[in-house]
Amino acid sequence: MSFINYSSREINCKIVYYGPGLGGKTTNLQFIYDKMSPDTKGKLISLATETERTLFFDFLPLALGDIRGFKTRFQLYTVPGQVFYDASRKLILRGVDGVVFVADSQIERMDANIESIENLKINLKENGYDFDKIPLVIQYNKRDLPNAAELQEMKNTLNPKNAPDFEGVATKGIAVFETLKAIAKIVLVEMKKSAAVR
Amino acid sequence: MIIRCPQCATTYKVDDNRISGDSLKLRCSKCGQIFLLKKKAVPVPERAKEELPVIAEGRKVLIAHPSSSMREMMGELLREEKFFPLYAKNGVEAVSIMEDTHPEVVIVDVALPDIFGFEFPELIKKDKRLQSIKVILVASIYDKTRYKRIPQSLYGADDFIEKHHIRDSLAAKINRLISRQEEVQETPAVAEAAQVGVGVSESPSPEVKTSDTEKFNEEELVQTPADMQDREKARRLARIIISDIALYNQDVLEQGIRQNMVEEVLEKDLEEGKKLFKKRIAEHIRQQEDFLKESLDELVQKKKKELGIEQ
Repeated sequence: MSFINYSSREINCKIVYYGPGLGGKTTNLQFIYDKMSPDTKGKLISLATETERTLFFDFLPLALGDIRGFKTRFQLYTVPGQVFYDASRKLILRGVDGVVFVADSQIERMDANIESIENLKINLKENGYDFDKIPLVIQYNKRDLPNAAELQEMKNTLNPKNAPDFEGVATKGIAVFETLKAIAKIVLVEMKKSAAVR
Repeated sequence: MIIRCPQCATTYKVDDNRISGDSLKLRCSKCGQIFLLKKKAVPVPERAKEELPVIAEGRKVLIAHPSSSMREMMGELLREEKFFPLYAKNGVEAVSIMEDTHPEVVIVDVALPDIFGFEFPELIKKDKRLQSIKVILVASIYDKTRYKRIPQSLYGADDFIEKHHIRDSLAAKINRLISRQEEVQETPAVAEAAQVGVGVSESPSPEVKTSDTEKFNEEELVQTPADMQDREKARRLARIIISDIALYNQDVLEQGIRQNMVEEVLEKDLEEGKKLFKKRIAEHIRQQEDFLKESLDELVQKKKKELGIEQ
């Protein structure tokens, strides 16, 4: 699904950070943006969809190498997490190559996590993707809170297909880059697979 | 209250308020069995208390945790401290044990299957017979040495304990809650018992046949499990919508509560929430109760308490 820019010889990979409202999607993106060297990253753009912050930026990782002479440019997006801004979420998922699901570990947000992952399944399907096949990484965020749910319980509920997952504290940057690297890796493997087929 | 069909053991959740008299007639939608649901008595009177073997055995503490090793570990610890531990591995089991045995304290894992731990305080508070039970939530943490934020709200629970502190401070926490309870409880227990206590007899009482059952239309009472599930779904969606609105509008909400104009200040978001709710929940379920309003009221009550505003 990735967009290929022939003039700059770049392949754009779209990675969407999905998850319940105020679960840490933006914090993840902001942290990545802040740590990235200025010459590899584009601008951090805030798309004003309805009332929520939806962030976007892209970057060109230097160390990843090429796919058949094309460089890979990653585009990271967040979606509005608030449950009723579904239209924007659906829109942002268009053309997605990989999803990072940022779950809120606080037990009282378990409902919202479940709702959000179910919503992800529906919205992927409506955009023509299969939840079971799309590159997916899960981050259990806010693990520093004492009201965090049991990890195994979160895995059972949110990650039955055993996608790579991480325990994170996005405000402190814990597991933020591990998560990004994991999703980038899966997306690239998928991309190389499809490039080989072509 | 969670009930079980005596014939086929299907479980149902029944709103306590629906039992207006002593009992309620229900028909299991799965096997067709008609059975009587009785309000249970509160085992309070002092005389009864003395007669019960409870004191000899220790004070009852229910441990509701999905992991058997955790249950055993806590049970052993409590026995050493002269408590009498009871065990449940899931929410439904925990509720039925609470109803049957009235422990003084329940220790609940936050991610208990069936009924989340954080739903317990609310559930207990709603049931007059269980109200006095104290709740301790068991939280887990992935790095015990890391700095932690203090939870802003315990969802009505009386205390929480992190897994790695169970050995060193669980007993102390229980003792503290129980002794606090005793200070408060001196007198009102008896009055409450008189108000709620409804015949201690366990035998099915034939005298319930007329007035109470007549009040209800049987069709109205019988709910299919699917219906119950849908209502639960509706309740959860309402809770998600309302908690999202609250999360994103914390200041506005607080201001609204102080001025007693919550619905006015959140009008736009509530409108969005209603739209989504309408789209997702079937009309016949929506008509049964105003789920969003209930959820909002609940939230406002909780916030008022947090803010120290008199109700």
